[in-house]
Formats: sequence, structure tokens, C-alpha cells
Amino acid sequence: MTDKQGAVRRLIRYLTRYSGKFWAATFLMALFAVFQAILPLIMGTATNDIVAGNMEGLERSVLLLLFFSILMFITGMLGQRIFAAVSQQALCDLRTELFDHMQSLSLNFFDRQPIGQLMSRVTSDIDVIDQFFSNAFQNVMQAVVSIVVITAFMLWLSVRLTILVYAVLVALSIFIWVVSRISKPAFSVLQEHISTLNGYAEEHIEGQKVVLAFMQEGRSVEEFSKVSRDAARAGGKASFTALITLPISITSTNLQSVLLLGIGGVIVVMGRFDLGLLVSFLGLSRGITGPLSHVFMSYSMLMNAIAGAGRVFAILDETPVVADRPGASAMPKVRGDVIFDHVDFAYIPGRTVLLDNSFHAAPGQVFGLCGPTGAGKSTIINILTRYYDIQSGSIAIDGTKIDSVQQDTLRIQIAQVLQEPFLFSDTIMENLRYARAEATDEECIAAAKQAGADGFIMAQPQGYQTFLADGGAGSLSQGQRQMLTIARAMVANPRLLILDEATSNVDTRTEKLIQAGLLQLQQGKTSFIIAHRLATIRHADTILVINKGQIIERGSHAQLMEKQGFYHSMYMSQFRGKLAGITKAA
Amino acid sequence: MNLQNYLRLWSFFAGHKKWIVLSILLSLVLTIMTLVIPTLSANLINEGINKGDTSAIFHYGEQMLIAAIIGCLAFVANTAIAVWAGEYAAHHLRVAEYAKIQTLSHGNIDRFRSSDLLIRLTTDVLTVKNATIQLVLTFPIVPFFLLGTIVLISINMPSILPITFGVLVALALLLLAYLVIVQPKYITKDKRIDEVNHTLREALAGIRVVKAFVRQAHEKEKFGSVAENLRTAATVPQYMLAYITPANTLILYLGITAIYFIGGSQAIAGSGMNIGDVTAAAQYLIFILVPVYLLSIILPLASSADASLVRIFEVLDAVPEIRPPEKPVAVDVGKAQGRVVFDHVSFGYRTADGTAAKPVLSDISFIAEPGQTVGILGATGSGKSTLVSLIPRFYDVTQGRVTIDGVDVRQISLTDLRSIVSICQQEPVLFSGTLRDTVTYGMPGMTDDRMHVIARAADADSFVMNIPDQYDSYVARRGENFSGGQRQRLAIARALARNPKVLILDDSTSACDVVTEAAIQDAIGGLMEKTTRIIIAQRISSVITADRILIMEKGRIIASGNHAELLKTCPEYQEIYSSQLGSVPAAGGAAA
Repeated sequence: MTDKQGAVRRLIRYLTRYSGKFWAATFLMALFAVFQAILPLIMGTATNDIVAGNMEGLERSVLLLLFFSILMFITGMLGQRIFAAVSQQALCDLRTELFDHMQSLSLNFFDRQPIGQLMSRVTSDIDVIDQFFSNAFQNVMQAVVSIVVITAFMLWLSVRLTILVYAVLVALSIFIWVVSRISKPAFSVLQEHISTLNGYAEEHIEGQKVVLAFMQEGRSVEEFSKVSRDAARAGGKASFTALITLPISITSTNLQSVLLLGIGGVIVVMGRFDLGLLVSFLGLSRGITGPLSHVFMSYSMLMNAIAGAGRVFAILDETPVVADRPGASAMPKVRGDVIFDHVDFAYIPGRTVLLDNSFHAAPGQVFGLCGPTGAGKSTIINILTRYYDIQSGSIAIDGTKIDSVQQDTLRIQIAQVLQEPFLFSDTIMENLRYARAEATDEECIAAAKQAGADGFIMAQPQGYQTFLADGGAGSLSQGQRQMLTIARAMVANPRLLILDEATSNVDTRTEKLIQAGLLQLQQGKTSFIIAHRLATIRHADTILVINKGQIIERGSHAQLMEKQGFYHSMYMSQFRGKLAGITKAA
Repeated sequence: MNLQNYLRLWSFFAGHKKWIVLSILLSLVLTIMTLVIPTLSANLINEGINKGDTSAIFHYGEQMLIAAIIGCLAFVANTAIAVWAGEYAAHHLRVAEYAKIQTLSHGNIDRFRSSDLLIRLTTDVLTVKNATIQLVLTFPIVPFFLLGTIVLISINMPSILPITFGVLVALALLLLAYLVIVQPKYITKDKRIDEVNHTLREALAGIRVVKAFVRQAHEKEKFGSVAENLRTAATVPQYMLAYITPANTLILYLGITAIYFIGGSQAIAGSGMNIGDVTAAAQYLIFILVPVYLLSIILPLASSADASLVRIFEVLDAVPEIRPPEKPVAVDVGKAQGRVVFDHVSFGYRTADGTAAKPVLSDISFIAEPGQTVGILGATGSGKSTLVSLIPRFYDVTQGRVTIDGVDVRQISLTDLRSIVSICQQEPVLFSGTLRDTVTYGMPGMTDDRMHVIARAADADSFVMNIPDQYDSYVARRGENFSGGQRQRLAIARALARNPKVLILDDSTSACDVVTEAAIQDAIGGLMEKTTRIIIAQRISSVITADRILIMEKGRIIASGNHAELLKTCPEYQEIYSSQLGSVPAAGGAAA
């Protein structure tokens, strides 16, 4: 409960940041509620005036009605406007804060869940918070003020009749509570059916071609029909319980009127009350059911918002694991001398991924990294760029330990080309410039030429100014996109280069094209190349063979082949099994 | 909005229309009961309270109570019908759409895109369901309420009729302003939301790139600007609503004020209206607000449901690209040989209007003899997968013909054709269920013995038997609880289970190591000696033992022959060979 209160309080703090506007809006809305409650009172006076035949009084009442209607309009309008401005500003603040914070988090945060999942969670969480800010919070606030004001007026008019009204309201509340006890599980049952249905549909529409190939259309339609019918039944139950509250609350308002008119009428006849007051009371009591049902309706919204806010705040409270030391200096300009000294590392404490690894890469050397999947090749790259901090040992570049400098100043001096070419939805030129904001157009074009990308860029409709929708996913091939990321790395042109499976997703012919660009990129840089296909790293000065988190062999291709060890057998397994086959076939 | 879409939706209710008629009657009852209450309360005040007659108070009180209860019952019953109608429409639309999707050809699916079809099947149907519920529940009430209120006022208190119309016109104008001016602003807001989500998604998906080039500040600025745009877009309609909602109340109270003034003057003068009428008239005026309010809810709902109906009917009206032959040539599936011939085949994917786009395959001719293995090598996009998808008629050739045992595939019934040809893709789609369900997907009811034989050939039996529940183990959606190599082996088993005469493996061992791949190929060769095998691969080692290898480039076969021949004569093959395997003397020697 305190957690929930905490989340609500924290959400509201985003509003109260703009305290002047926030309190102005609150005040105006309170006034609005007061005026709204005053109007039926004046209608009662007017009724009395009519009954008494007091024309002058009636005229005065009518003028008052006019006056307060207009006041009500003005306060309501201003209050809503200011509140809308504040709540949208609060939401915008929350969004940008969340975005900035996520950007600052270390990669371990993004490892925990697929980006798609994180994305859809954040989107829907913000969405329910939006509902809360722009709908529920305002409604509840207004409703509470209205209920308080109206109740106060009613008590002032007649305590007994107020008790009568409240008796009906309590009965209605109990009814709604009971219905919600029924409808809540009904909705969760429905939710289950809906996700079964969506799951089935997703699976079989994605796999429609398989269904077709295996001629299982009939069976699949039959199965879907059953799932759909179940969902419809569950949906019927849930919707009915949710919708039934409307007729019931309308009926309770009617019931209230009947009771007030009946019992109040008798009291008036007995002479203890006048008709005007009864009419006023009637008007007031009608104004209380509306706000009450708003509170009920907003309740589920509020609960959703609390759950969403809890998750959003959990992200906001996350601290980056890789943090700069206080007073860390900038990384001096890198020459490219890399030393790993007895480095141990684990993503999850206790589960060692790298154990006691040491090596030394001199400026300009090309290092190849190979080994089975999961051996720890990419991990070496992740700790060299300080996406993660190591547990023991040290990593030094040009003699400077990398955990002693600001991480941004280190990272900006390392160019990376990754397996999945990632480009932004922007022009080709801006994508190239992404590596170095101050790079000129000429520099970017020169880099593209060096990477061998100029040819196909110029073939695009607007050359370098071509906009890449979806990062070029639809308009460029994987190989072309990879060439752009190589060109981008050339624009940065630092002294350290990392190629992490840069060509493993393209076919051999495309790889040949890219290879030329990659060799250009390696010129004069200390390079680390991870490769799946061993042919890619054959030219490396040193190949590190990694297995189960340890460097088990090192040397040039020729040396390692001669050694007839792990590397040799990995290399030969590309042919094995087939050599016999070929002889047999021939 | 298009009425025709709703008429078509209405036709789904064939045989059940009486319920809708009943619903309209219930709405009428509800309206009458609601409208009668203020009349009764006016009587209660006039004849009871004003005259001091307690029995009249009870009499009218009792009638009010009865009216309220009947109204309530009608409303509840109508709610039940509305909910039923919504779910009924949803279920029938959904099943009709799903059944249609299952008959569509690959070309149709490519053009619709699966993700979009899924939205049409779920979100769009949901929109129609919600709109149907609201429409059945409230739409008849709008005219009933309007008519009833106006009739009552003109009978009981004609002098306030002008006020009523004034209020009605003012409210209608506000409603119009809401629909025409405010609603579109929400569309703008939705677009801005999309932009925000897009920027967020891109920054998160590219987080490594952002961090590598230290461009967090740039991304922050980018996000800040789209977030600011969204804030503006979201504030605009709210500002407008800030006028509209209180304006509704203002108009109402202005009307009530006028009634009190005019009616009150009459009552004091003793002509026309009396005090009970004045309070009832005020109530009627509030009733005028009801239909206007209902319309403000229903109309936006109905218009989005209309858009959804269009998208649903588009699917229902789609014509499958592949037509079954009108007079199929009788083929004995059991005795088929599986001799596949491509005879000067050209192909291009069709665009939405049915015309072929630029050719993907040009002038392909080759023969795959029963029992032979034909390998196909080529770069991504060279047309390998397209080529084999013409055999089971996933697409139809644009020129030339594909024959099996001399019969054009377009003349074989689809059932026969797809019993003869079995295809297995690189990224296999496995359905959730047990492993047994998975392997026997195309052959439900296969014996366990046969299943083991099949799975062994696909090298799947050994890993399956090592799992505690063996063939009863659960396969998660897309087979996610199995590794890529295991999924591929299961998919091969599934394809083998149908004992095809033509087996196509489309890069379907890419995630298996070379040794496993060789074992699978040998086992299949042993199990289905007479089956024609067509193997697509990226790795040269996958096809090295094939009887014949086709080298494809840009939709054409540029060379064909066995490994030894190609290594001697084909420069492209030599190039692929050396880049993948290097020049290893042992391999060269063995090949020579």
C-alpha cells in the first residue's frame, strides 16, 4: 500500500512542480464545483418565488441563475485549460526524463530484456499514466470537490434527507463493489482468452505458409473457431458485468428522486419544509451520482496508472553499473597500445565468462578472435569498450587504465562495426556524420568512397541526401547497410577498431566487396576482428583462439595450423565429413 | 462513413435479426419510462405536495417507482442483447476472416503482410465489437429520446418549445464543433505519439551505436523535440474541450433560466404553466442533452469501426492468387515418381493489381530425376528460394512451365501436388504443442515406430529421447525453447513425415554443423532413396556431394554440373570455394 501511495505521490509531484498553475487550476475547479452546487439552490428559491407569486423575487433569482451559470462556465473553462497545460507538461517531463535516463544506463540494463519488450512496456506504461494525468486525476479531483460541496449544501438544507440520499448512494456503492468483485475475475479470464486467441492467430498467420504446405487449413480453422468462441463467451460475461453498472446507477438516481419526492413531499405537506427547498435538494442530489460514478470509473484507471508508474519509476531509479569515477579525467588521444592483464569477468557474479586473460596488442596490429559460440569473444570487446567493468585484472590503453577515465572519452576513440548494421531514419549523409558531428560533407563522402559505398549511394534517388526510412531496411540490402556502417566508422577514424562478426550475415560474394572496405578501415589502426568464418581473419597478425573464457592458443594462421591444435581442428572441420563424401561421389 | 459496410455487417446477423428488433423495442420502452418519470413527478408536486394530498404523493411515487423499475429491466435486457450482438459479430467476422486467410496464396499474404493481417484479425475486430455493443445499446435511443422529449413538451408546455429548439440547436452546433474540429486533433496527436515511439524505439535499438559514438546528447535533443511536439499536439484538443464541456452545461442552464423566467411568470400570472410543469420542463431540458451526449460517443466509435470494417472486408474479398485447376489431371500420389522439370521458366512477383513486377527468375531450365540430389548455390537474392517455391505452387510461373512426371503443376490438384512435394525452410515455423504434434503435423495419427524412424533420419530422435518427457515435451511458440539447429532438424522430420516424392531443403541445415549436416543428408538418402531431393545452400559443403549443382546469379542459372566439373570449369564456383574453404590441398586432391 505504501508503495502505491508512494507511486501516486511521486506522480503528483510531476504536477506540483508547476505549483502556481497547479494550485490555480485546483482553486478554479473547486470554485466551479461550488457554483455548480449553488445553481440548484437558486432554482429552489425561484420555485418558492413562483409558489409565493413573488415576481420581483423570481426576476432576482433568474438574474442570479444567469450570473452563476456564466461564472461556472468561466471557472470551469479556465480550470480545465490550466490543468490540461500542467498535466501535458508533466507528462512531457516524465517522458523526456525517462528517455534521458534510459540512455544513461549501462548495457546490462538492455541485456535483461529484448528491446521490443522493453519498448512496448514503456509505451503502454506511459500510456496509462497519460490516461491518469489527462483524465482520471482531474475527474477524481473534480468529483471529490463536487461531492464534498454538494454534501455540505445538502446537510445545510436537511440532515434527514441527506441521510436518505446517502442510504441510496451506499446501496449503489455496495452494488458496484459487488459487481466489480465479479467483473474483475471475469476480465482476467477474458484477458487469458484474448491472449490465447491472439497467440493462436499470430502463430498461425505467421505460419500460414506452413499450414498451407502441409494442407492443415481445415484443422486450423476448426481450432481457431473454438478459441474464438471461447473468447466471445468470456467477452460476453465480462462486458455484461461492466455495462450493467450503468442502468443500475441510473435507476438508483431515479429511486433517489422517488424517495425524496415521496418522503420529502410528505414532510412538506406536514409543513416542516417548503417546496423550494425540496426542489433544491432534488437538484443537488442528482448532481452527486455523476461524480460518484466518475470516481468508480477512474478507480481502475488509477490502479493501472499505479502499476505503470511503478515500472517506470523502477527504470528511473536504476543506476548505471558502469559509472565514471569522481573526478575522472578525459582519455588522452589514443595511439592504440592495448594491454589485457590477467582479466577476469562475469556478467552475473559467480558465473565467470572470462578467466585470467592476458595479451598485448601493439599500435597498428590486427588481432583476430575466434572460438566456438559462447566462448567469450564478444565479451572481450564489451569490456575493452567498457560497456561492462571487469572483476579483476586490468585493461590499459597506452598505459592508461580504462576504468580511470571518463567512459565517453574512451569510447569515442574506438570505432565499431557490428554484426547487425544499424542505421538511423535519417539521410545517408547524416548517418555518416553520426560518427563525428563536426565532420564536413566532403569528409563523409571521402569516407564513403574509401569504404566502396559511394557507387550505390550515388545510385540512390537523392544520392547522399536520400532519406533512409526504417534505417534503410526496405531500400538497401544488408551488405549495403553494412558498407554504410563501415563508412561511418571511417568518418570517426580513431586509432582503435573493432569488427564484431561484421560480415557473418552476408553471403560470400557480398563479403568480398565489403572486405576491401574493411581492409581500408584497418589501415594504421589497432584492430580486433571477431569472425565466424575463419577465412576472414587469416591475415591477422595474431589470432587469439578462445574457448570457455580462456585464450587457449595464439599466433599467426600459419603458426596455429602448424601446431595442429584446436585452431587446426576448427579450421579442418569446415571440410571434414565431406572429404570422404567427395571421394565416394567421384 | 459508409452505410454499406454496416449493411454488410448486418447481413452477418442473418437468422438472428429478431434479437436486434427486440433490442430496438426495449430501447423504446426505456425511453418511455425515462420520459414518463418527470411527468409523474410534476403530477406528484402539483396534485400531491401543492394540494397537501398525501395519498396522491404515494400514488404517483408508486407509479414513478414502477416506471423506474421497468426502465431498469429494459435497460439490463438491452445490455445483454448488445453484448451478445457485439460478441456474435466479433466471433463471426473473426472466423470468416481467419478461414479466408487460410485459403490465401503466398502472393496475397506477401502483399497484405502477416503483421497487418494479424491487426485486421484482432484489433480491427475488437473495434467493430465495441462499436456494435455501443450502437445496439444507444443508437435507437437517440431518435426516441429526441422525438419523445419534443412531443411531451409540445403537448404539455408548448410555450417553451422555442427554448427547447434553441438549446437543441446550440448543443448540436457544439457537437458538430467537437466532431469536426476536436476529433481530427486527436488524429494529429496519435501521429505525434507514433513519432515519439519511433524515436524511442530507434534510440533503444541502436543503443550500442549511440554509446559507441557518444551521441546521447544528440538523441536527447531529438527526443526532446518530438516529445515537445507531442505535448503541443496533446494540449490543443484539451484546450478546445475546456470550452466545450462547460459550454454544454452553460447552454443547459441558460435554457433552464429561461424556463424559470417564462414558465414562472406564467405560473404567477395563473396562465399556462404551473409550478410542477416548470420543474418537469427543467428535467426535459436535461433530457435533451442525452441524445447529443450519446452521439458524441457513438459517432467517433462508429467512424473508426467503419475504417476497421473496410480493412476486414478487404481480407474477406481477397481472391487467392493460386487458383486450383478446373479439371485436374488425375495423379496417383502413391505411384508418383517425382521427376521435376523446369522448362524455360520465368517469374516475377505480382504487384497489388496482379501484374508481374520485374522478373526475379529468367529462363530457368533443368531436370531433377527421381532419386537424384540437385544442389542450388547462389548469393542472397539470386532467386534460389523463389525457384523452389514454384514447385509446390506457392507462386505460379509467369512464363514456361514446371512439371512433375510430365504433368504441369498447374494441372495437378493442390492436395495431390502438396502431398507429392514437401518443403522445409531455413527459418522453420514450428507451432506450439508437443514434439509428437510437431513431427506428425502433416500426418496426424502416424505410428510411433514410423515417427522414430523419421526423426532418426533428421537426426532429431537422439536429442528428443534425451529430454525427460521425450516426444511429449512441450514445444513453445515458434519452437523458442529449442536451439536453431534443433528447430531445423524438427522441421526436417516434419517434412519427411509425409514421405514426399519431392523433398526440398531450403537452407534448412544452416544452423547445424557440417558433420550433422552430412549425417542428415546421408540418412535421408538411405530412407528415401527414390525421392527427388533439391537442396539450397549458402555453404558449399552442403551441396558438395550433390549429383548436380546449379549456380544461380541474378535469377539465372549460370552454370551447372557436379562438384568436380564445376571446380574445373566454373570461375564463380571456384571463387565461392576458395573464399569459403580456402585452397586446401587435401580437398583439391580429393575433388580431382
